[in-house]
Order: sequence, then structure tokens, then C-alpha cells
Amino acid sequence: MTLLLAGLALGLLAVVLALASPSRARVVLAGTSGVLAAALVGAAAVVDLAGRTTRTVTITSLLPFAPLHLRLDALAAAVELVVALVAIAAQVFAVGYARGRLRSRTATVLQGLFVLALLVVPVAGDVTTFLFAWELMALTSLALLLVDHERPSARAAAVWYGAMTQGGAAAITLGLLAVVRITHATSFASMAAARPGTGVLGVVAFVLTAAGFASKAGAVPLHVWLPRAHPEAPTPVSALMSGAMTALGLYGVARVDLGVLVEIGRGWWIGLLVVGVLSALFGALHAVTSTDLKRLLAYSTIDAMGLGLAGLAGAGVLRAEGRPEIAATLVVGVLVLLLAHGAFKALLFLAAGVVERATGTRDLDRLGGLVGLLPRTTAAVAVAAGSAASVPLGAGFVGEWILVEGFVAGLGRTAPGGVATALVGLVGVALTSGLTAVAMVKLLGVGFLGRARAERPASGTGEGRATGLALALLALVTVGVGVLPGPLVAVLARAARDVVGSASPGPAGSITSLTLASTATSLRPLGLAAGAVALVGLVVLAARGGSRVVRATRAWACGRSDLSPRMQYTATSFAEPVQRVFADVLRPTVDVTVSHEEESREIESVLAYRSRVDDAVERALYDPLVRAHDALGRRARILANGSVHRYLAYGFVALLIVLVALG
Amino acid sequence: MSGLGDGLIDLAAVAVLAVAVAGLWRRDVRALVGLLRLQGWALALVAAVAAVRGRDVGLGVTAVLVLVVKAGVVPVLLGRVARRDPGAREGAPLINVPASLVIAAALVALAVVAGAPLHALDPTASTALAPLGLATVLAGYLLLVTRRRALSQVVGLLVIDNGIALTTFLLTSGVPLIVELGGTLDVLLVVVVIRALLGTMRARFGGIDLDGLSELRD
Amino acid sequence: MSGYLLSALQVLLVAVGGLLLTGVMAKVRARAEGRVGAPVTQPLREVAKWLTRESPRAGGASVLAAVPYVLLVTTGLAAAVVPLAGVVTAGSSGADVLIAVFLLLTGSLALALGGLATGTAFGGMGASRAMTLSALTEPALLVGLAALAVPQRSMNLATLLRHAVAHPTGMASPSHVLAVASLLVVVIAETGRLPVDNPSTHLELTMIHEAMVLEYGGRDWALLSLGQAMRLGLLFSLLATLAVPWGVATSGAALPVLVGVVLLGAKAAVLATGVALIEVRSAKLRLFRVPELLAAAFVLAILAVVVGVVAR
Repeated sequence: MTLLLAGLALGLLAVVLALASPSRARVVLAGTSGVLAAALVGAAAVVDLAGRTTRTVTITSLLPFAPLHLRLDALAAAVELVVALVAIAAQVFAVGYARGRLRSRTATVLQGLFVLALLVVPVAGDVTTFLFAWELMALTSLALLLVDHERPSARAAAVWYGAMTQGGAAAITLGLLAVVRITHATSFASMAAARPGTGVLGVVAFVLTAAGFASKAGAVPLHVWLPRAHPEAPTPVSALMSGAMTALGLYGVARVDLGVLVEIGRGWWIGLLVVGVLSALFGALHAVTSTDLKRLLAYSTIDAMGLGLAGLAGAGVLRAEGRPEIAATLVVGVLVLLLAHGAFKALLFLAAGVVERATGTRDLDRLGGLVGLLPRTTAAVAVAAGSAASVPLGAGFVGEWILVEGFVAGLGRTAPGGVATALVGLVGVALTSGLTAVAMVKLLGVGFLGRARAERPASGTGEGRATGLALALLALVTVGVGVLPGPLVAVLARAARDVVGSASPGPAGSITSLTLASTATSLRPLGLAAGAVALVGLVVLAARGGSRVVRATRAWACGRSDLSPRMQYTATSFAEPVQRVFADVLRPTVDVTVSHEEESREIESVLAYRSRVDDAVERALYDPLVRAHDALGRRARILANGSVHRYLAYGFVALLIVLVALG
Repeated sequence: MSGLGDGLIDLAAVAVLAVAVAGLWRRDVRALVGLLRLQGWALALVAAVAAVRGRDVGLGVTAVLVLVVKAGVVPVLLGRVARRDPGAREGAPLINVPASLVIAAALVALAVVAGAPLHALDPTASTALAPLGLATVLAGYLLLVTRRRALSQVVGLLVIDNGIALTTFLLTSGVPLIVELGGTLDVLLVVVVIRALLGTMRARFGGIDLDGLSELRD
Repeated sequence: MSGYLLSALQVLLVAVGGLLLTGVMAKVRARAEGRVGAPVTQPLREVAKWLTRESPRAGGASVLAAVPYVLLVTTGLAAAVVPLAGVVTAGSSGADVLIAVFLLLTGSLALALGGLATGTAFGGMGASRAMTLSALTEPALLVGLAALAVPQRSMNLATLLRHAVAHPTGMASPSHVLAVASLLVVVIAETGRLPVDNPSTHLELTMIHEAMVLEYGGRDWALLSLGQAMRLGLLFSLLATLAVPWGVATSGAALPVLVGVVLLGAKAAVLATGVALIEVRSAKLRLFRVPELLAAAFVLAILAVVVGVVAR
């Protein structure tokens, strides 16, 4: 706990340093302090997870209105690991990356506050502290989105984000108030002891909190802000938002809905499961068709968080069916997924920042061949993309493997509700895993391999020392978790047992293996790695028997060696088959314009092909809402016609009404 | 015997459902008729095994009836209609094929959840399969709703009927013979009437695509 | 026989067997079409020949050099992990079929990246099509395997196969039949055989798989073809073992393992012959009709799970 408090104090120090230090040293000083803060908090989480104790502390004098309650239990520590990792990497990156506005006092202070808020949310022990940290997180990230307020797209994103995040916060506040009303307690620990969740108020609390948290995690149909806000934020902030903040959405579901509202009916969980699976599918499909690098990553965040939500909801159903040990397996899967996602998604967002700086564009249709320009970044991206596509020995695979095994375990020996849940979850994972792989191949293959599709400005490469360090750290964690998941899972299992209240040990892990009792299977990543090394040796040996002459040639390309880079498959054309297969879901707009030569209608001069995939959910759900709101606004303009007398009269009338009402 | 009987009923009941799903996959109208014949055989097998197992003569007669009507007469009648326009294919169903298959999968899952109480009422091996009958009905409905050609729709209707029959065989080892007789004759009558109607349609409009029938006339 | 030895044996079997199965399929097709056909060992000889040739490498040279290695290592690793000839492979408690599935997916990713790395139109086309189909086969594959896992509630093939060998009647259960049918479609799609893809096509526009590998030559191509053959060998042996688990050695003694090896070869050869006959009888589907086939396989797999759960 001392570590945690020291970490949070350093986080505050970072904010103070950002305020006080001179402009040249500001980014470095505040950044160093922030990195140390995150590192200390991460260390506190590790110590806590290893030490099996829950500690609480109350700080009474820091805030004027209420004392701060901090509580570091296993679940908080597990999520704190994710936040700390992403925060360290993003802040190290920011030290080398920040230029222009991002170096300003406002931006540095806001970033320090944002990181601090992210670090406090998981350890908040009661409702007030939680809501305070949550709101601070929402507001600072909103303000950071406006650092580039001159770009119209950033402003539009901020409007969407502001509306959605405040709506979500309101829902969470009301939901938590309902829980407080039922349980007459404000700390999460004593709330859970009262076992709420029955009755209308319990349902209201569940629906409101689940909606608010799921919106933070980008669940469909509350996701519309995410693909706008994450790409428009400055790069380190994108990484923090996508890697850490969305994870806190799922943390909220685990903490409040799974951990506190234990008596809620399983039907509500099944509903949430369907939402999660649909989000995963929707996110994966849009990730495949997006051509903007950061937008692709944002949609892939919706995909990963959807799977996480499905895992938590599946845990809710299976616990209600009396299978807490399977529920614990699913929760462990989600926690591993969160860590894996934090690492690879932060890496990819940071790398996207490097790419944008080096080439001046994020449009995959204009990128290509970056492996020559940014070799180290390409290597890091390859690691992250592999993890995202569930390549074995990557962190993402471990999470996905546990999730699938958990759902398979749910298929046997449970009531029909459990079977249907497991089946829906399994189908969701199965459908999205293939699509995610397509998106990641597109990202790596079209963006970084092949030949450059457009001229590049002759600027520096942007592969600095600090940025490289951040990417290397994240890549290391990605591989490390993939090769040695056992110890991590062993400690996460405790968090999962706490959450679902399971008595059986659940997933177990050692250095060499990771064992799931519910499906009688295990993963031996070290053995796999050793096997892979042996096989590489074998293949090298076999290849040595053959010719070793390598000749550099031009591409054969079926005899057409005069192909220009423009003739390569672009991101759009790569995604076209998927777009066509899923046209009913994606509803793409395709325009083909043909103009003919003047001499003859038979000869075509210009053929233009345009294809756009808009967010169908947004079009169907939000456009009418926005239009209705606009109409209401126009109608309301009659009330405010600009006449000062009228405004004064309103005040006068209001005063009269109050007097009459009181009298 | 009971082990073999259970295995046969399992296989035949699953075959009835699998054929219904295959109907959503195939576009060729003549293939649909072939599938219908297959479904008739499987259904008759279910009835026959249930009859032997329950030593039920009425059910045995029903099995023969099912075999004659659903695997014999009806497919033959429909096959004749189908042969008149060879190569008739379901061009573009209202919902495309992969989507309708995925919907069918969801319907099957739904049927299992919805059919669970049936099994709880009388927990035996064959009532456990009753959701498959329900799923067949739903798949038939999907076929009926999404297809444009009249003949495919007739197939959908018959799949629904087969699904109902399968459910009754599995749940109660069949309804009384007289009811089954009535139901089967109804189906036969429907097929005969529709066949006459289709003949008239073809004579008037030169095709049996139902999209041509969107306006009411005197 | 120790687990590690058996694992090594399986890798070797899948490598040589994969090449031989490719030869068998070519032979069956030739015979069915009234030709004599090349000897069954032809693919072996071709790989040996290509190994001695120089490797031309165009754009993206480092990627082109790495892809065959990734393909060989992931496929070999998958062959070592899953029990095919016997259930005593190295660390058989970790013989989880999902590991093999994702190792194979890794191989597909490497092939697609190789196609894009060359910066040619055909490479990109092949990669795009292959990845689309792989994304659509993935659900059928995972759910189909889950259907087989339902009776034992385990994706661990050692557990599954031990139970299946002890209870051979399970093979006739409807759930098993449906799951195997759906996996057959998956295997046909994943190995790029007709009616999904034509492995012997000469027209670039109809290519899926071949378009990705147009730019390889010499030793690179030898290793790549070996990798592809291993992939085919692994998928066929896996399906054959899962469909008919008879003869899988449940102990490490020499005789049962020998029987397991021979029977595995026989089962895989029968399956390869069957697939070759399907190839002879069917025309290549239009690219956008393939999703219908894969959706059908997916629904079959779901039916298999449902039936397995209902009729247990």
C-alpha cells in the first residue's frame, strides 16, 4: 500500500511539475515523474497479487467534500497492471514524441491528470471516490482530445465523445445510487456483502451501470464515439484511451455488475452477452474495411472489448447456473485479454503515431513499404499484430485460448441457458478471430510491406530513442506473457475467484504450463517455444543441404514486370471480398462512375470507383436522434430571439412563479 | 435393440433437421424436391422405430402412410411441376444464402432453449430430441418466408409439416392414427391444389416467380 | 516409446506423408480422368530437385525468405503437439487442438503476408482471397471441433481420443457425423482443393492460393511446397484420426505405435482418395459462392454441437 500511495503521490507530483517547470524541461520532468508513478503503482499491484492480501486506506483531507477510500484487492491489482503498463509506455513515448501543442503546459498537466485518474479508478474503494476518479478521467481525456482543436474532425469527435461519456457517467452515477439505495452502503466491499440484484431497483442498477460501463468499452450501439475519439486524440492519449480506459469499462462491469449485483437474473447477463458478441463482430468487420490506420485500430478495440464483455457476461450466466469454476475461467480469460490488448493495442497506436509523423498520412491506401523506412517499428508492429491475431506464443493467444476453453466447458453439464450462452460465446469468438486476423494482415501487409503507394515527404523517420523504448517494452510484455503465462494466470485466478465467489481453484499456472481443470487441458508455451527452436534448427539444417545461392530479381508478376506501385492491392481492395460477403451487415456505398470518350460511347475514358463503409448503426440509430435534437433546437430558438428585454422578462416571470409557488 | 433403436432415432431425427437446413442452402428447385423425399424417408424411419419400440400397430400404419405420401406421392407430384421448367433456380432469395444459414443456426439454438421444458415434462431419450422437430418447423418457416419461387415455398410448407410430425413422433410416439391420416391427407390435398394453381399461373404469366404477384386485380 | 520420440516421428510422418498424399491425390485424379499420371513419389522428387536450385527473390526479399520457415515451423509444431499415431506425444496433457488450429492460422498469415510483400497485383489478390476464406472457415473449424469436444468436455485430443478408442460406437452418433462432415468442408477449403480452389490452375484470375506463392522459386519454393504439403498431411491425418480413431496407440510400446502409424497412413490415404474423387466430380465454385458452402459447414457444426448436447 505504501508503494501505491507513493505512486499516486508521484502522479500528483507529475501534474505539479507540469504546472511549474519551465517549458524546456516540462515534458521530460513531468513524463519521468508520471512513468515512475505508473511503475510504482504497477509494482504495488504485483506485490498485492503475489501477497494475497487486500489493503485499504482512507485519505480524509485531500478533497473538500468527501474522504478518498482506496482499496487494493486482487481484481483492482489485475486491472492496475494493465493501466500501469500502458501508462508507462505512453508516457515514455510522449517524452520523445511530443511536439507543438502537445508540449504546452495545458496538455502536459491534462495528460498527468488523465494518467492519475486512470490509476485511481481501479483502486477506488467506494462510490464517491470511484465517481470522482471516473469523472476526472472522462473530462481530462475530453480536454486532451481538444489539444488539436483547429481540426474540425477533432472538434466533431470531442462533441460526440463529450455527449456519450457524460451520458455514460450519468447512467453509472444513477446506477450506483440505486445500488447504494438497496444496500445502504457506499463501499464496494460492503455492497457486495448485501447481495443486491433482486427487485426492480436491482434491475435498474444493473441496466444503468452495464450500459454506462459498456459504452466506455465501446459496446454496440453505444460505440459511436470510439472510432472518432481514439483516432483524433494525440498519439500517446490514443494509446491510453484504447489500451487502458476501455479496459476500465470492463473493470466496471466486473466490479459492479459481476462483483456486487450477484443476485441479478441470468436473462440480463444473456442480453449483455449478445451485446458483447455483436460488438465484437461489428468491430472486427469494420476493422477489416477501415482504411485509416488509427480508425482500424479503434474498431479493433471495439472487437476486443466486445469479446471481453462476452466473457464477463458468460461468467455471469454460468455463475447463475451454478458453475462458478467455469465463470472464474472466463474471468481469467478476460483479464489476460485485457493485459494482452493493453500491450498490443497501445503498441499499435503508438506505432501509428510514428508512421503518421514519418509519412504525413494515416491512410493505408497511401502507405506501403514502411519496412524499409521504419524497420524497428515494423518489427514491433509485427509482434503486436501477431498477438492481436492470436498467434501462439503471443499474449493475445493466451487470452483467446482461455476464453474458448471456458465456453467449451460451458457446453457440457449445464442447463440449456448455459449451453446457449456457451454456444453464442463460442460462435462469437470463432467468427471474430478469423476477421481479426484479416484486419491484422491488412495492417501489416498493406501498410508496412509491399511498395510505397504514394510519394513521401523527406522528413526524419520519427524512430527516436524514447519512442523505440516504449514500443520495445510493449513488444517484450506481449511476448513475455505469451511465453510465460503460467505465473500471471496463477495470480489472476485469485482475482477471478474473488469476483465470482468460486471456491474451486480454477485455472492454475506454473512456469512451464497453464492448466484449465474445467476442460482437462493445458497449455505448455515453454515446451512450444523449445519445439519451435528445435524445428527452426531442423529446417535450417535441411535447407543447408540445398542451394544457398540467392539472386535478387524483379518481381515476376506473371510476366508483367512493369507493374507500378499503384497496381498493388490497396487496403480497400484487400478488404473488398469481406465487404462483399458481409454486405448485408456493413451496407457499403459503392459508386462506379464511367465517362466515355467523345468519339464513341464504346470507349471508356475514366472509370471511377468509390466505396465507403459508413457505420450502419450510427446511420440507423443516431442520425434520427441528432436530427430530432436539431429540430427541437430550432424550435427552441423562438424562445431566445436575441431581445434583451425578453430574457430579463423570463427572469422576472420566473421570480413571480417562485413567489406564487412559495406563497 | 434399444441401443440400436436409440441410435437410429437419433440419426433419423437429425437427418430430418439437416435436410431442412440443406434446403436453405440449395438453390436448385429440383434438388429441393429431392431433399423433401429424403426427409420423408427419415421421418418414416423415426415413426417405424418408434412403432417397433412401442409395439404400436397404429404408429406402424402411420409410418407406412408417411413413407407413401411424404417420400412417394408428394415428391413425385412436385417433381413433375419442377421438371416443366428445368434449371429453375432460386435466383436471389430475400435473405441471401449465408445469412439465412446463420439465421437457421440461431433458430436451432433458440429451439433448444425453448424446447427444454418439453424434455423436463417427460425426461426420456426421445423427448430430448423434440427440440429438433421444433427447429425443423422454424427452418421450414424461414424457407417459406425468404424464397421467391412458389415451388420453394411449397417445399417450405411441407418441411414445416414434417417438423410438426417429427415433434409429435418424438414427444408422444405419434398422435392417434385418425388424426395423422387427416393431417397427411390435408397435405396431399394442399399439394394437389397448389399444383393446379401453379399450372394456371404458368399458363397466365409464363412463370411461377411470386414477385410478379404483388398487385391485386379483379 | 517416449513422447518426444513419437512427436518427432509424427513431424517426419506428416512431412513425408503430406508429400505422398499430394502424389496420391494427383494419381487418383489422373486415373479417374483416364490418364496414367505421375508416380506417387513425384512431389518428393520435385522438392528434392528444387532444393538444389538458386532462389530468386524480388521485392520484400527478407519476408519471402522468412515465410517458408514460419510455415514449416508452425505446421511442424502443430504436428508434434496433436496426437495422430498415438496419444503419448510430448506433454500430452497439453495436446490441445486449439493450439494446432492457431498454429495453422499462423501459417496462413505468413503466406498472406508473403503475398503482399512482393508488391504485385496477383500476390495481393491471392492474399486477400485466401484471408477472406480463412476468416470464414475459422468459425466452422472451431465450432466443429467444439462439437467433438462436447462428450468429454475437453479440447484436449489425448483425452478425446482415449475416450473414443474405448467407446467406438460414438463414431456413429449423429453429432459426430455432422461434425466430421463440417470438418471435411473445412479441410477441403484450408488445403485449397476443389470445389473451393483449384490447386492445378494455370489462370491467374481464378487463383486463390497459388496467386500468393507466384514469386517463390528455387530453394525457397522447395521449402514452401514442403510446408504446404505438411499442412495438407496434417489436416488430412487430423481429420482421419478424429473421424475414425481406431488404432491410435494408447501406450508407448513399439507394436501399438507401429500399428498406429500404419493405420494413420491408411486412413489418410483413404481420405485423400475420397477428396480427390470429390475433386474429379465437382467444378470450382465461383468465389462468392464459396461463402455459402462455408456457411453450410458452419451451420452443420452448430447442429453438431446442439445435437451433441441434446442427445447426450
